[in-house]
Amino acid sequence: MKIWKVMYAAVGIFLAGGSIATANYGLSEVDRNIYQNALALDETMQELGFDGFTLKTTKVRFYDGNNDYVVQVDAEGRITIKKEKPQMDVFAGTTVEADGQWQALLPTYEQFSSLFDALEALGSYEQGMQEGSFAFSKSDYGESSHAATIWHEAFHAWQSEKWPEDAEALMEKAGIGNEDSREDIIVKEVDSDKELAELFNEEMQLLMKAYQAEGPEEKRALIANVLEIAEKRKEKLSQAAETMEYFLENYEGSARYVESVAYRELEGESAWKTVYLSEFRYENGSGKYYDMGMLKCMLLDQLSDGWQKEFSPETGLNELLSRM
Amino acid sequence: MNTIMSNALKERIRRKELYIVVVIGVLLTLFCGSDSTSISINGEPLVSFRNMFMVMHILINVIGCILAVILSLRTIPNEYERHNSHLVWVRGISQVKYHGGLAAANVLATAISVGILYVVLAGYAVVKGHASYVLKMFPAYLIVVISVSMVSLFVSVLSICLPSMAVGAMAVLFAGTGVLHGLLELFKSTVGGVGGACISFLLQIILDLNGLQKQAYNLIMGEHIDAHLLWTGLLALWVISIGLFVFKKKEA
Repeated sequence: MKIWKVMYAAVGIFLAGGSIATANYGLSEVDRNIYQNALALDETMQELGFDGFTLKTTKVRFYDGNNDYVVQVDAEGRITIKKEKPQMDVFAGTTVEADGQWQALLPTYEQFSSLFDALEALGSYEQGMQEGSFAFSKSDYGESSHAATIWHEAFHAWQSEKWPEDAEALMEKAGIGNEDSREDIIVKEVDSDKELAELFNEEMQLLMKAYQAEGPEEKRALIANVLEIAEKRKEKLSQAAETMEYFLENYEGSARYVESVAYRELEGESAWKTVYLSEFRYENGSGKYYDMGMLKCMLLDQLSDGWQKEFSPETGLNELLSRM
Repeated sequence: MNTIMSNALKERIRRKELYIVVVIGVLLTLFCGSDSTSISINGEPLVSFRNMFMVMHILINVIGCILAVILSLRTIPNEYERHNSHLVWVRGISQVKYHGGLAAANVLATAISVGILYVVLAGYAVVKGHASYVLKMFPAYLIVVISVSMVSLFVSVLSICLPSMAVGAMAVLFAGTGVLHGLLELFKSTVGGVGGACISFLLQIILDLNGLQKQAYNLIMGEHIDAHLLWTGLLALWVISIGLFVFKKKEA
């Protein structure tokens, strides 16, 4: 009996040893590579012209479900990784203020993979039904997408550093409290209004047309139409909805633009067009404003050098377009 | 111990439990594999073989976990209710051996049941022209057995000391959390707060049974396998088995 017990204990120790030996510690190789790929674009992203915007001075937090892995470039240009308690114990891509600076926060790539596994196993069949395949898969959100997301969040961190409290002041002025969800405001006040939705659709179609137009004069004519519709929409919006639209289009739209530039660099023109320039389809919620803001930034790129220097919470994308 | 185990298995065959499993397996095949339109969402068929195979593989793991609960829940309590235990005690057999034999019979019955479902799955692969998968399905089956054995052993151990109702509820929580691990992980990360902390606790103490299933599927498809999950699965089985030494029946 004693030998049997010793053997039983030995099996347990052996299995515990195997489990410890095969466990992953620290930030995975995949996430390290993703960060390095994002960092390699730093020069290109600095050339965009947003004053002082660089990944080298922005800490990036990868949340693995239990801890944050804080990645940064030190004074000698070396990448350092530090394990810390999570700033936000939730699955989100956002910015957080820690150690006296705004930092980018996003889940690890493995966390995203779990998300897709879960969707693959359950919720994606509806879309799959329409397209004959699964809508969500790892191939739709690759490592380059994750690197581009780093740039998206890093841009938000830059916005928060450069324009501290401006977004909050904007919301306060419109009487929007923390409890008011951006999705709720858009869905209730914009998406439920058929006329507003149709005007939004029209504005997006014109923006796309202007982006694809050949000459600058044609572009300017189309932009004038775009701004006319934007004005018409503004008249119909409540102050809260107008503020929320302004915020989403300018803050999120410009971040989507930065993200798309990063993706284009990493994946090339064709993949970029598929992901960021596919045919517009109106959907409820805030996502469509990201695309609208991005398109406006891309149009500004076509018509003007250095618009990024003038871009600010007070001088938004529509204002810049009207000066073209 | 072998005699205890084989008697428990023979009783299952007498009670035709294994036949029921065969029927479930055949129904599953007819449901999923008879033609490309037999399973559908809003009238549209789920397409490729790979997708169908994945769905069937997930289903086998889920059905296996449910069978593990059904097959294991009453085995030990029934023995005591019928006073079979006295026949064992008079022969001087220890509780550990007795419970161990019955728990092993539960695990074996569950493994055989999943084996039958796996044979049906292999048949589906062959019919669809993917006979090359069959060889890889042997080691994959052993991985799925780790997943369902864990549920079976968990239920067996708890049924020594708790009433069936309580064991059933805990088994549902254990198996449910295990097979929905990925989704709960995602849910936990989106809710945060006290709810998130409770889910987080459950996820830390209960192994990812769907993750184990996924490793088996990956093995068949020739994709990367997370060895850590397999080691942890075996370790969890070992840890649960300690309950066989710890929990004793007072009636003895």
